[in-house]
Amino acid sequence: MNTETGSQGHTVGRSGIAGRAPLAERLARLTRETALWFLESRPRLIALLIIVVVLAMAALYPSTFPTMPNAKAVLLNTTRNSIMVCGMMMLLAAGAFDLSVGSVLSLAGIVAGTLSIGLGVPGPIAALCALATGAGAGLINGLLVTRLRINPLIVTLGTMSAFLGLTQLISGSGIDRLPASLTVFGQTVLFGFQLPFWIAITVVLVSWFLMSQTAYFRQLYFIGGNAKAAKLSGIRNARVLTVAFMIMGTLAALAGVLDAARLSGADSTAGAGSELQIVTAAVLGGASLEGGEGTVLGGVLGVLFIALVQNSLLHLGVGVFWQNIVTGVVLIIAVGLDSVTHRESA
Amino acid sequence: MTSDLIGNGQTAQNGYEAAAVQGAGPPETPLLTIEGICKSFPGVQALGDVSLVIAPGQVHAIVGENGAGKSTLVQVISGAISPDSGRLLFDGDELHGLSRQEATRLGIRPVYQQDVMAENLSVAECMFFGKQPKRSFGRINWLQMNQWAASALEPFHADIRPSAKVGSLSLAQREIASMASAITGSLRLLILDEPTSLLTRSDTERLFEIIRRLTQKGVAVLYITHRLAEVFEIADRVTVLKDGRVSGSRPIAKVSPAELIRLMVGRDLSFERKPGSTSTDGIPVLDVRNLCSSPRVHDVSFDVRRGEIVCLAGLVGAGRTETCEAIFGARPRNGGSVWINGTPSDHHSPAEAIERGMAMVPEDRLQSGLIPRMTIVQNLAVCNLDQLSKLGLVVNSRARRLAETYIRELRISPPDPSRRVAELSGGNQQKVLLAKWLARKPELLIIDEPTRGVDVGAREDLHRILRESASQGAAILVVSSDLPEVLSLADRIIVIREGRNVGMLNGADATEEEVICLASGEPYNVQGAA
Repeated sequence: MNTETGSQGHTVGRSGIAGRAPLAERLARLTRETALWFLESRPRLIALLIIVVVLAMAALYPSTFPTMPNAKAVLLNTTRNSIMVCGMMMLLAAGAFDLSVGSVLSLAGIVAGTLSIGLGVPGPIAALCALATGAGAGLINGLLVTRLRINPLIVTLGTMSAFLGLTQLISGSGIDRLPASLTVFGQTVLFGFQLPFWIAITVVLVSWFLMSQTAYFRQLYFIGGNAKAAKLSGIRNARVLTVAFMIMGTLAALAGVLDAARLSGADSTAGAGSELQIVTAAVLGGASLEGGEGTVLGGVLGVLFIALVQNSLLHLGVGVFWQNIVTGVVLIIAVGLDSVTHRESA
Repeated sequence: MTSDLIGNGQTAQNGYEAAAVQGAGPPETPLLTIEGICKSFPGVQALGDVSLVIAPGQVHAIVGENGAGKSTLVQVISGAISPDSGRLLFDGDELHGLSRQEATRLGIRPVYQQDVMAENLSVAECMFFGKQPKRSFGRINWLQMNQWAASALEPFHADIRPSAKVGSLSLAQREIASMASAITGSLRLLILDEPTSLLTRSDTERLFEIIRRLTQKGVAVLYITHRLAEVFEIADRVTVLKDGRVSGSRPIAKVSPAELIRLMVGRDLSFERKPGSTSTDGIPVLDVRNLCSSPRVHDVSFDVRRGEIVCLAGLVGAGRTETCEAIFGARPRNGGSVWINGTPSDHHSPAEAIERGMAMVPEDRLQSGLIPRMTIVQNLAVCNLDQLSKLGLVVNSRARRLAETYIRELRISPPDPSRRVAELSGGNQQKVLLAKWLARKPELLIIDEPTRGVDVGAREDLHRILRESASQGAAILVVSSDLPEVLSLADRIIVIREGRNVGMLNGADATEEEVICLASGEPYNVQGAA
C-alpha cells in the first residue's frame, strides 16, 4: 500500500506537480527506511517485537496484563537469565560458549546450602565460597578450551555432565530450609522488588559498561572476529578467553546462590535446561556462534523477550509446552531474517 | 576418463599428449569467443561490453589493476557466474547458463587465486576430487590416486607428497597442487588467475615450460596477471581491462611495457630504483644468531639496523616465513637467540614481541592479518588498544581519528573509516594491514610478501610507505618472492636456502641471477656473498 503511493508520488513529483505527492513519497521512504533500520540489527528487531507483544497483550487483556504485579512477575522471572546472559555474551563475542552454566548454577546453590546448613558456615561466607566454586568451574572450562585446545562445545558438554554429577554426589536431590543468613540475599525487598532483581540490574549495567567501553573486553570481539589475527596482533587470546569463562562461571554461581536464597532451598537440578535458554536469548539478542558480535543489552532483550512470551502464553491460557515452540520458531525466524538481510547487503 | 591420461603410472607428459588429441582443432577457428559481456553487481558495473577472441594454442594475457574486472571475467568464462548480457561461443557453439560441471566437461579449467582446498584432506584427494579412481564396489583406489597425483606434480618439481594434508602445505605449494590438478584430464582452455604471485622464479620458469608444452598441443591459456614482465615472456596476445572495459588488445609484438601501463592505469608510473642509504654503524635493532625452529629453520643469522630495509629472499619452503614467525614469537624457537637493541630477548608470544617494539605483517592478510567482517577503525584498533584508550576505556574519537589519518597518508580508498575491510580491494586491505602496525611506530617492522596480489598503483604506494618508514628510522625486514621487488626495495638481501642463510648481497648491485643462484644452490660467481 505504502510503496504504491510512493511510486505514484515519485512520478508525480518528477512531472513537476507540487502538492501532497512528495509527502507521500517521503512517508513511503521513511516507512521503508524504518523497516530496514529494525531489520538490520537483531536487538532492534527483538525490541520491536517486545513492544508489539506488549501492546497486543495490553489490548487483549487490559485488566490483567498491563498491571504492576504482572510486570513484576515478568521482570523477576528474568533475573536469573539476565545475570547469566551477560557472561554468555562475553563468550559468544569471542566465538566460544558455555553449556555447563546450568550445572554450575545448581552446583553453586548446593555448595552454599551445604556449607551453611551442614557445616554452619555464615551465609555471606557460604555465598562467597559458592561464587569461588563457579569461578573455579569457569577456570577449568577455560583452561581446557585454551590450553588443550578442545572445542568449547565438547569441553562444556563434558563439564555440564561432570558438574551435575558432582552436585548430586554432594547432596542427592537437594537441600531445604536454608538459614536466614543466606535467604536474606534472596528475600530482602527493596523499592518493591526482591534483592536479586537489583543485583541483576547491577550485573547487566556493569557488564554493558565493560563490554562496550573497556579496551580489555573489546579484545573479546577481536578474538571472535579472527583469532589468528588477534593473536598475531598481540592479544593474549588464551588468557582473555579464560577470564571470560571465569566470569561466566561466577555469574552462573551468583544466579544459583540468589535462586537458592530466594526459594530458601537448593535443588540439584535447578539449572537444568537453562544453558540452552541462555544461548537462545543471546542469539536472539544479536550474538553469533561465529563470534565477533553481540552486545550485553541485546542479550538482556533476548531474555526479556523469552520471559514475555512465557507470560503472554499464560494469559492466553495456552499450554506451557507452546512456549518452547514459540521461542524456537522466533529464534529461527530472527536469525534467518538476519542472514537474508546480510546476504543482500554483502 | 582421467585414468587413460595419466593413470598408466608414467609421467604426466602423457597427460599433455592425450589432452592434445582432443585439443587440436583447425587453428583458424577461435576456441572461445566472448561477445559484449556485461555484468553488474549492486552498485558496480563489473564488466561492461567485454569482447575477446581466444585462439587454440594461444596464451592470451589479461592485465589490469585490481577491480578492473579480471576475476569477474574468469568467473563468467568458467561458469561460476552468469553474465547479464552478451554471448560466449566455445568451439562455435553458444554456451547458455554454463555450470561449473559443464565447463569442466568441455575442458575449461580455472585455477583461482587462493583456491579453496579442504585443509584436512590429502593433496591427492583434493586434486582428484570428484574424479577419483575406483576399485570394485565404488571403493576409492588410494594407491592409484596417489600415483596420479605424484605424476601430475612431477613437472613442477615441487616437494609435495600426495598423501600430505593440504593444511600442512604453504600457500605456494597449494597453488602448485591446484595447477597440477587442472592440467590433468581433457584440457582445452586453462585459466590461470595470478598464478605466479606466490611462486619463486624457478617455479615460475617451470610453469612457463609447462604452459609452452600445453600450447604446442593446441591448449589455449587465459593468463591473468599483474606482472608485466611475465606478459612479455609468455603471452602471444594481451588484453587490458580498465574499469570493466577493454581498454586495448594487442599482439605482444606490437606493444611496449610503457604502453601497457598507460592502458592499465591511464598514467605513467616511474619504475626506477631508489637506493636507500645503508648505515652499518650502531647496534642492530634486530640481531638473529643461529636461529633454529623445526621443522623448516635450521641455522639462520643476520641483523637489521635502524633505517635499513633487509629482504629475505629464497625459494618457497626455504623457511623465510617460518624465520619471521620465530623471530616474532608466533612459532617456538628451539635454538639460537634473538637480540633486540643489543640485549638477548626471551619473548615467546607475539604480545611480548610487540612490547619489545616489533611488528609483523603476515603473509595471508585475510586469514591471519585482518578481521574482514569489521571496519577499518576496528581493524586498526586491534593492536592499538593501549594507545586508543584512557584508564582502560576506549576513546572512540581517537580510534576514528587514527583511521582518518592513515586513510589519508596511505591513500586508502574508499576513504571511509567505517567501511568493512572485506569490501576493500586487495591493495587497500594490504594498506589497512600495514597501517595498523605503522600506528604503533614499531622499531622493527617484519613484513611478509608486502605486495602479493596487489595492483601496480598500490604496489608503488606500499613501496613508498616502506621506504619512508625506513628513512624515519624503522628497521624493516621484508620477505618477498617477487625478485624485482626485492631488488628495488632492499638495502641488503639475505638469501635463505633450506633453513640456512647462504649469502648476503648488497641491494644496490645485486642481480636477479645472483639471488636465484644462491637461493637454488646453483654455482655462480659469488663475489657479493658474505
